[in-house]
Amino acid sequence: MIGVGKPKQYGNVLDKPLSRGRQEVSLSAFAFLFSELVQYNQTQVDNIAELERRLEDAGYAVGARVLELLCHRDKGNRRETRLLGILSFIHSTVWKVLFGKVADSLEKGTEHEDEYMISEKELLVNRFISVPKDMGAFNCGAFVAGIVRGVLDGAGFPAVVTAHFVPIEGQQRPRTTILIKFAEEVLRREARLG
Amino acid sequence: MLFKGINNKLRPQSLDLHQFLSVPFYFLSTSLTFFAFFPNLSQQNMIVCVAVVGHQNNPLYLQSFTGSDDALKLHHIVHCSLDVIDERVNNPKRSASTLNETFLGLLYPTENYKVYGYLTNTKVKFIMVTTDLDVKDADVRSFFRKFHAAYVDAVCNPFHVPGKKITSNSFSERVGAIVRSFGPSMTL
Repeated sequence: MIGVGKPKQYGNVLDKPLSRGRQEVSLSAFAFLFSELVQYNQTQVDNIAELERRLEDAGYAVGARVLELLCHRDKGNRRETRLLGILSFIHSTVWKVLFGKVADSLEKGTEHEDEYMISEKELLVNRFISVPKDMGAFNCGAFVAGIVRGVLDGAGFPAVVTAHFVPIEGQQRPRTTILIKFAEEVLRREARLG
Repeated sequence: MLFKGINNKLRPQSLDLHQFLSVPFYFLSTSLTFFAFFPNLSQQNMIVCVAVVGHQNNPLYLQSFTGSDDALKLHHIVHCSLDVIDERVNNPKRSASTLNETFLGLLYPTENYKVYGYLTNTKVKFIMVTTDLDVKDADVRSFFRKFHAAYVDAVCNPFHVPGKKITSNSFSERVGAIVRSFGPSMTL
């Protein structure tokens, strides 16, 4: 609930209001829940692409709600209309609320004008997951890609968002990159706004 | 009835308007005269209607707080005000600093009502119709802030399908409580 409560000491943890406060969820609880989500979806589909799509759809619903919540809570009266504005909003505010820290980096793609990348050394959702070899390039970060897509879609920036593993030499586990490819109309609007 | 329908083709002919609404002419005129001959009713801070409209102008929630006589008229007012919102949002004559404000302010006044608008970050519009003639700006802003909080809670419901109507009973109750507490004594 969005409440504006005065800070009070509660003897019993059940009496604490669910206000924003120091909102912390147990990592193991989330890891178990997420692993159940992946396992459940795995029994429902036949191939990897479908599994990835389902995870992304689950994330999309989360993203839409997170956008509503954060815009009311943190943003006050401002509405994001610029590309860089919404990207830095995702990169810092959304990441901080969801994962407790800002994302590692936000980069603009060099090959195409409409590509941006948010990269992270290790996504929180992937921390306790190792993908078997026969699943190819599947990345459970598709859930996070879905969240980003939900946020962008809700804010009026339609985009295609995917998650990729990028191997870095010198490190055992590859970095994860969320690749954001904006639709044509977003670029046209951005050019028009100057 | 003078409606400033910007994009619709209605012109201020009361006869056409009533035919358009397909409500018997005498019925609407009696309710109008009710409002004209009882002016002290408008002295109360009464919100007569609140509405939530999605980003494709689809209605998500529509609630009127007067008798059901002129509910249709209020729906029509809400519909007309959508045109005003579209014009304000898409009009580039506003400077860049105010382009992304959420509170849109007074949209347009009719002879009895004032219509206020509020635009969230996801292009969802809140519309409030009130009969109060000297309502303060700060009151309306705080009303919309509370209303936005109730809306966010309703959307976070996992059983709510985005794009469909809001069917939560607790949301209706909270909106009713917010509307009842609307007035010059509102803090926060």
